Amino acid sequence: MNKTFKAAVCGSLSTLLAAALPALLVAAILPATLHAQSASPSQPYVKTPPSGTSWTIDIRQVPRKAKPSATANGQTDPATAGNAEKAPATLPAVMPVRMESQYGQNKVRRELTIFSDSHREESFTIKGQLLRRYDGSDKVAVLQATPVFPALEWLASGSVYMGKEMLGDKECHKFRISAEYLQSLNWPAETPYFAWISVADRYPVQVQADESMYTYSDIVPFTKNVPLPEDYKAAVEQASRSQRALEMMRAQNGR
Amino acid sequence: MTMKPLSHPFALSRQKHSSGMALIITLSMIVLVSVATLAFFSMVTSDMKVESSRANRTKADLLAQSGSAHAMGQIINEITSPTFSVSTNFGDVTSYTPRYTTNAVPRRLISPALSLTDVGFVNLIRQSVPTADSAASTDATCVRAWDGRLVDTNRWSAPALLGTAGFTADSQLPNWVYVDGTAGATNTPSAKTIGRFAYNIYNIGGALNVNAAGYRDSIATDQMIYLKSSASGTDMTKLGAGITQADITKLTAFRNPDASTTDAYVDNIAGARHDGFLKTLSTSPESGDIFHQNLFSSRQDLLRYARTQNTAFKNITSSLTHFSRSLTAPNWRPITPAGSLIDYAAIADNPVSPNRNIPNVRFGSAGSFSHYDDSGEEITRSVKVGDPLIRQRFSLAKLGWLTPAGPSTEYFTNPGDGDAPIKSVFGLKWNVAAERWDYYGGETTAQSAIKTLAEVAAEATPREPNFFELLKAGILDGSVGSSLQPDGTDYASYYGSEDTRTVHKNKDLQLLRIGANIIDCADEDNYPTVIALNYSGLAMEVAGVEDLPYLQSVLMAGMREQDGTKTPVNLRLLSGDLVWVPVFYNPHRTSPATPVVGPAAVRFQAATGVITKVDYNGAGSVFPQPMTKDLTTLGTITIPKTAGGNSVYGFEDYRNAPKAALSNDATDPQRMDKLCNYVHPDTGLIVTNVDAAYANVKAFRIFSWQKEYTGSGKQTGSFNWFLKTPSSFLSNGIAYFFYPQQVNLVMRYQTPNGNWKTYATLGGNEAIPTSGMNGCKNDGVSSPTQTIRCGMHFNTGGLISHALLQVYYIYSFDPRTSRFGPVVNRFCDYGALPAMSYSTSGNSGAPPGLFPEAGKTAGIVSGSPTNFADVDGLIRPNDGWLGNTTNTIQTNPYRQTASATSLNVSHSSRPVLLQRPYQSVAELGYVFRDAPWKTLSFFDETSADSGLLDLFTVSEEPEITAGRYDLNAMLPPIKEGALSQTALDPYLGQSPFVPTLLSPATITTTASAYGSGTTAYAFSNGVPTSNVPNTLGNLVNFMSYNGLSTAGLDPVKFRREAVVRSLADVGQTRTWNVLIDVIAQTGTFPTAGAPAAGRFIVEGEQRYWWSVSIDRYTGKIIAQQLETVHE
Repeated sequence: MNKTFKAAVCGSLSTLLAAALPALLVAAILPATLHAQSASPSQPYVKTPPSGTSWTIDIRQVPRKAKPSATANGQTDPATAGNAEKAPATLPAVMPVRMESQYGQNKVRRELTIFSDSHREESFTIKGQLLRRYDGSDKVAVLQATPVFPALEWLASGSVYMGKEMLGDKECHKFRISAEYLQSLNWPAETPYFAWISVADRYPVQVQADESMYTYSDIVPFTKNVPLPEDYKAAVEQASRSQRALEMMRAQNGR
Repeated sequence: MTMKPLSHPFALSRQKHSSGMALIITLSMIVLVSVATLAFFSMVTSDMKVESSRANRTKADLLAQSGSAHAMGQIINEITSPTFSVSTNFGDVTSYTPRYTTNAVPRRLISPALSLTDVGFVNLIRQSVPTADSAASTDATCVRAWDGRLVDTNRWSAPALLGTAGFTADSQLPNWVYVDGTAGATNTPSAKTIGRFAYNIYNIGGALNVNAAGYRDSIATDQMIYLKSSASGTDMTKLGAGITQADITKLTAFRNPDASTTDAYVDNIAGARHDGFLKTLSTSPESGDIFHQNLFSSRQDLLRYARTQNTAFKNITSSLTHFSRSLTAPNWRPITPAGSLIDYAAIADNPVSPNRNIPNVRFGSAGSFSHYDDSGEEITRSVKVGDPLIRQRFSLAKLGWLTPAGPSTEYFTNPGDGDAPIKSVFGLKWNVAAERWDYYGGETTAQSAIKTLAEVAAEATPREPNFFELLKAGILDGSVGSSLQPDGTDYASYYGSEDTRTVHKNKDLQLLRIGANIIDCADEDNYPTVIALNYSGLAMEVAGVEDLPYLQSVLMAGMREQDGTKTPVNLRLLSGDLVWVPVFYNPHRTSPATPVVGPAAVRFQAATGVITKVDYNGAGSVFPQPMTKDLTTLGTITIPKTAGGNSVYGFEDYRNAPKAALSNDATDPQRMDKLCNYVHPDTGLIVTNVDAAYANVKAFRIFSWQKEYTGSGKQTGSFNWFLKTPSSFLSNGIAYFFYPQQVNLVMRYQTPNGNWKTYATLGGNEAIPTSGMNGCKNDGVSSPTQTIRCGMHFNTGGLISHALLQVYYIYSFDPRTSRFGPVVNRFCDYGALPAMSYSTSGNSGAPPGLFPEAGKTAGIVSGSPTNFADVDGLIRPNDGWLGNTTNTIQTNPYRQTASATSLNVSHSSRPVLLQRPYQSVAELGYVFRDAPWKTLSFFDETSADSGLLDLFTVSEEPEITAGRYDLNAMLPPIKEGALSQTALDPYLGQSPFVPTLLSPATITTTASAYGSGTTAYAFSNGVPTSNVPNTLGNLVNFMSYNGLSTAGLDPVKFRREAVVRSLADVGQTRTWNVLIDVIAQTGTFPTAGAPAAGRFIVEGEQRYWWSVSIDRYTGKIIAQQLETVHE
């Protein structure tokens, strides 16, 4: 049982979050102590939590640069930088601000996303499939599952290791996005992508993806099953039939 | 006039000689007694001679029959010899597969005095000469016997199977085989000799059977198309210079006396063909009329007819026979095309191979099963273990049993009557609820796979393989299920997923679709035939190709508006509407007989699909919008059959150029002007964001920033918000990205019951959503980011986009299939709206414009007519590959222009739907193969479909027929006759039908190239070459013979295949037909002196012409006729 897991046994999730959040905020604001450059850790850099765990992710927007034209919600428009014309008012965006994940003992993961306008979206992940309702519909979409931890798609193949760094009280491996990867995406070279991964347990601690900052909680035990609603079950069954058909076809194709 | 009574002679005598009456009576009595006595003794003597003669004749009979059997043995020994055949045992049955291709043809072992290249002797294949028969002596038959009897050149020429000169020298004649009372046939005469015989064996398989051949005058061109499917369509005027059509009409008038009109004659031939041209009474399957036929019953009959009734025929008797038979059991076995990674020939006898050596596939169990003839009549057949699995070619006439509403009521009057026949013959069962055929094969539940012949043969209860199983057997396994390249090469613009490829790789699904296409090419209606395989409860449907608009591409445009009143650095984005515009195209040739029965409308929609995110992109993801958008909610775009009302275009309008659907209904929610508009932030007015030329184009709106965006960056205006243009937009241009999954865009047709069923897709198969489009590797983006760009390309776009120009497309290489795709390309205006300006040099951009002419080179390079390799590594050419890009030879439908904005809708290079029954098995070459711009191929040696020529036929023939002739007999005039009157273009109901025919030069060159002269395809210097077709399928290899380069063959595939169409239905390569001309003499040698030819005392003589048909693959005689020759 790792340290995070032990901690989770000792206190409730809210207690842990209450304790961790200030430290993370401090870590984000204050200059961290950068350890001497060390050898890159081995792949995979990030561990996937086992079933029977839960965690949360807080998301906030961080302006890339402080600009005179920065808007009330922190948005910056490079095109207006230095322009004398007065910028019009900016309308608030509806953005996700928090994600709560429960990975049940039954290997079903429920994720609740809370948006800035307080509306919530629920999704389930099971057997590599992501299930959520279509926009404005009760119909369930079965999609390719996304990584457990968002904003880290670039880490495995498009990162540069920067060494160890303390983030709050956690020693972390720090990575940045590679120029090559940015180029492959046809994105500007200066786009900031950083990740801090706990040295102790290889779970992410914090990720900056351009102007979004993701702060990850500790992984704590979750001892229940996650029930899958009936209409989601039906959608899974439908998808399973497709998969069975594909498997039959692959077997035929391999002959 | 009064007749004078005739005086009785005896009355006069009574008057003049009454006194001498007694004397006369006495003398008369003496005479009578004397005569009686003489008669008695004479009778005794005569009877002794008669008995002696009869005994000698009986002995001669027996000897002649023995001689015939001896000669026949030479042929059978050739078949069964391990030198010439590979034998395989099936219980008590043995098959003999020709060891080499040349062994498919009987060897020619004739007198050294004869030249094998002498065209006068091409029919002569064997003689009793020492070099051919070890029992043959050196004693010539032309040497007079002791009693002066001889068999000279004239007598040996009697069968008239040689050139008009016949045998001209004694040295050309056969020698005697002596029969010893104890040793049997021997080359040594002796005192024990009891007789002798000699023989010539002629190959009569290549000759025209006069009981089938020829057509009367005034045959219409469309009737000729039908007649060409049997020997009746062979142009007999090609057999000799002196033969006129009148002579042939005279023949038909004699032979078919009940057929006094051309219509009746065609009807008569239909019945005769059904009976194998073997019956004197035939019933037409078309009209039910009964026709009497005067069949020639012997060669002497035929010769007598030529000598006395139709003298023009005297000079062509060497090309005619009254007897020839062939098994309708196919003998196809695959050959391995050069360069193939799969050695089809080597594994043809391996049960795991789908492509088998057909004669060697045998029933593994005994029992009986139901066979159904073309009318659906049930015939019970019994088989034993080891019997051949396929005894007859599959009749394509049975396709008429299937209709879009289930079993045909024309064939099956009562509901349910057709269920058993259709399941047995096609393996299909009509699914009423789903309005489709489910594939059951031979099982009681819906199946996920089509069985191989070995699997069928191994079933416990014997049955015939069905239509789809035969397709699987006849189409090379490595040519179907092609997806990406075997080396796994991916292409930057490929737009799919592994699941897409899994569906494309499934061979049975492709075979099923080919089957559906075969059905739909020939049916009269325009409803696609839908057939499903069932994968554990999941039905995967495929639909046949019909004469309908197809989804050629989806144009992806990002309509947007900038604020033009501001300085560039302050540009405002007032709107952004991401739209898909489906572009439809019917690539088929205009048919003069477009079917009336068909869908009232078709429509485009997304069957499945979800978009998870869209964003602006100008060197960076900007204004992203996560979402879970259901593409199936975006509506439908319907095209009615007939233009009118609010629809600008009907089905027919999509034939001349790819184009979008247009609506005259200003309230139509799918119109561009309804989809692309915004509220101006300064004025509050609704502004249409599309040029007027595109306002009525029907589209789907994937996303509208102004109406749906919830992210950051929204700047407030007086009446609406807007977006500020990032600086990166100005320097890099702008496009849209969207992130799709499981997108299956489909075309659906309205069924007879009003339901909508999918008949084409741009993606995978909607039954498996994940087989749809799942993003792509877009050009310029090398990593699989699951994105699609929309809108004007970076380099050409500004910030304003109001038109459907220079945009990205999702397209398939061929609108009829998404195989090898779908793919994405940019900046190619090949079929947007308004219609692209077409030119003979090809429309701009990459495929699909140039893809129809893709040849045998690898890769897929933008702008080049390159091609994909099949699973077996072969790059099989597309239908248009024989054309060139300089416009001197036009084989690409996209290059056939009628005007600057319209393609030529009737050009011969366009695909064709016959929509009438097949009239040649090679008309399967019109059937779409479910691969881009490929039909079933009979025009090139790389063909993977050649087996179909042997496994299928246009109508049911009896197991033995007289209607075909041996392709492997060297009689070029016969092939000229077959090629003559062959139409290059299909009969599609034109009235009048005035086809272009194979030219005389093409006919003579082709016939000659096949098999005459010193160097030809099948024969060289009078002997078969390694190319000699040992199956009908090998005709496709002939099409690549370099000797045809001067034949003037048309570069358009469908026209080029006219050669195969002319030969495939009338030819056969399995059965050897020979006429054994044997003369046997009984007798002895004088006791004194040495036995020698000139000292043989002939006591009796008999001559037979024994016509025999032998199955080359079993050595069994399938038919024979012994004809006593009266000289």
